[in-house]
Amino acid sequence: MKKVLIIGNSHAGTVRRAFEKLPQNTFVDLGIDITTCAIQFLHDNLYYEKGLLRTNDGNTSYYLHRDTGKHHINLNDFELILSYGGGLMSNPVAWNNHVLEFISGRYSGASIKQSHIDCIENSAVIKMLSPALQTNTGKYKIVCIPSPVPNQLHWQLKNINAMLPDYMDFVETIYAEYFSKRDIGFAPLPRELIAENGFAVDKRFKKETAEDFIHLSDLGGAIVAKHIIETIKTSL
Amino acid sequence: MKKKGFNWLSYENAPQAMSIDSRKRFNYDIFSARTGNIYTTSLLKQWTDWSLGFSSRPDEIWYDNKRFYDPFRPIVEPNGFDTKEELMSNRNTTINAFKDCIVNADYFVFTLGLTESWFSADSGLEYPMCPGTAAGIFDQSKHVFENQKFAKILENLETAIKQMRLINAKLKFILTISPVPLTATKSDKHVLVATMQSKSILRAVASQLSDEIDYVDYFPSYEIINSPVFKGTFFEPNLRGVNPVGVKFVMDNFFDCLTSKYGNYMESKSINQETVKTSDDVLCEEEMLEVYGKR
Repeated sequence: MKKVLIIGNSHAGTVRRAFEKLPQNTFVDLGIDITTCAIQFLHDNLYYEKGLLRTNDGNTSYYLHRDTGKHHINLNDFELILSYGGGLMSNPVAWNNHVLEFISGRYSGASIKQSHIDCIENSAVIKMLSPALQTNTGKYKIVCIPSPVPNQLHWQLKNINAMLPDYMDFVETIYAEYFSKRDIGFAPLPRELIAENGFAVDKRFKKETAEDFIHLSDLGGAIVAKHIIETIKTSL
Repeated sequence: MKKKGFNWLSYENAPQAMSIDSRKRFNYDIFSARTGNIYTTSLLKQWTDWSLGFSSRPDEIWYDNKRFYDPFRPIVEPNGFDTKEELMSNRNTTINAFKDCIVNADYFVFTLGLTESWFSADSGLEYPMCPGTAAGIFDQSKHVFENQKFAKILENLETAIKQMRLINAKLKFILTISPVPLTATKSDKHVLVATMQSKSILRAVASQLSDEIDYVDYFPSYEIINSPVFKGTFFEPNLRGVNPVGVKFVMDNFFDCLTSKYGNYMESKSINQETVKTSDDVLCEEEMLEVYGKR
């Protein structure tokens, strides 16, 4: 039995729910034999609804990225660690600033790139994995998938009319290069999630509710869930 | 000064997600605008001319190994720029930020650092350091050395100050002289003689302006660090860089002078050793010369 651990952030809660709503034959259709592959979420009671995490006992709370590393789990029990989000692209304030700075023309490409790298290194998931990466003790493979950019956010970006069709390529090239140097796999976001402006999640795939305007809808969650399954298939 | 609660202006700020280490590497949070060090009064006037529109902005760039370098800020980007357009846009950002500093500051602190300078033979524009050291390729037919004399240094500083006052009539100036001796000299004199000549001229210029203009003051950091009383204890082992103790001593004196003249101008906190920058933090392009000289 190959064991896969999915770690991440609040967006992983959306995917967790999407996993459960996928048709039973999805795994088979995508070539995953669920009798030989066990998928476990770091937060095994993680669901994301109405802007709050809901646990099995009915309690709700906000997810904090910095809590990701507080879960003590033996990563060596797994063949594959799949990080979905965990601060990768999903910090809304940082992402807004990235886009605004990219558009401003005030910064060099190198400084914009460096600020993205600093953001990656400051992410909860990299902080969690870095001890193992530094000591090279992990026997598992790691693949990172950034969580959807929580965009068209209320305050700043809704006023941006710029079209940045190359922006995601620019950012994901930085991610791919960063992870490649550390022997970590990288799976870019499915492009169909991104709106025409090139930097925001298409509103068709977001919840767009008053309580939650950040996370994916069930439709968007299903796209990411399939993307994750395909990534698992190619990574194992 | 920031630790003491002074509002050190910074009009060219780093991308917000950039780490402290990266900011330092990209020369953010070091200069009020990312001009790099301005060592000469002619260079100060050049930046003032560009930012206030007294002269047109330059278009010169250097290209080397598929990267573009700014001749007027050769060290601000660790590895140059991707494109010419990016360089020019970034240079304009700095020039605009320099203007913002002039417009919005109450005090402008300028340290006179060098008399030796390098100019373009074609345009007459000044480079902050010899081409070919941090970036660019030295060409004897295109790059001209000048060891500036008293009159020119005085005129440039006086003109730059008056230009700044045209746009900000309340702006006051504090002049200091760099206590750091020359590492090398392009003049045909011994570096000791060249250093003394340079410091003497700069000190005389500072004195002349601060004596004659009521909104220009002088603070004697140069004298404090170099005073024989202290037997060179404020210098690093290389006898060139000023050590953290020296920086703290100078700044404590600066704040004491303010307090004695203006009273307890603000609730001050003592600078502890952890907050004092090491000499490694104080960037100086001449250190590039040291590296260059070893090649």
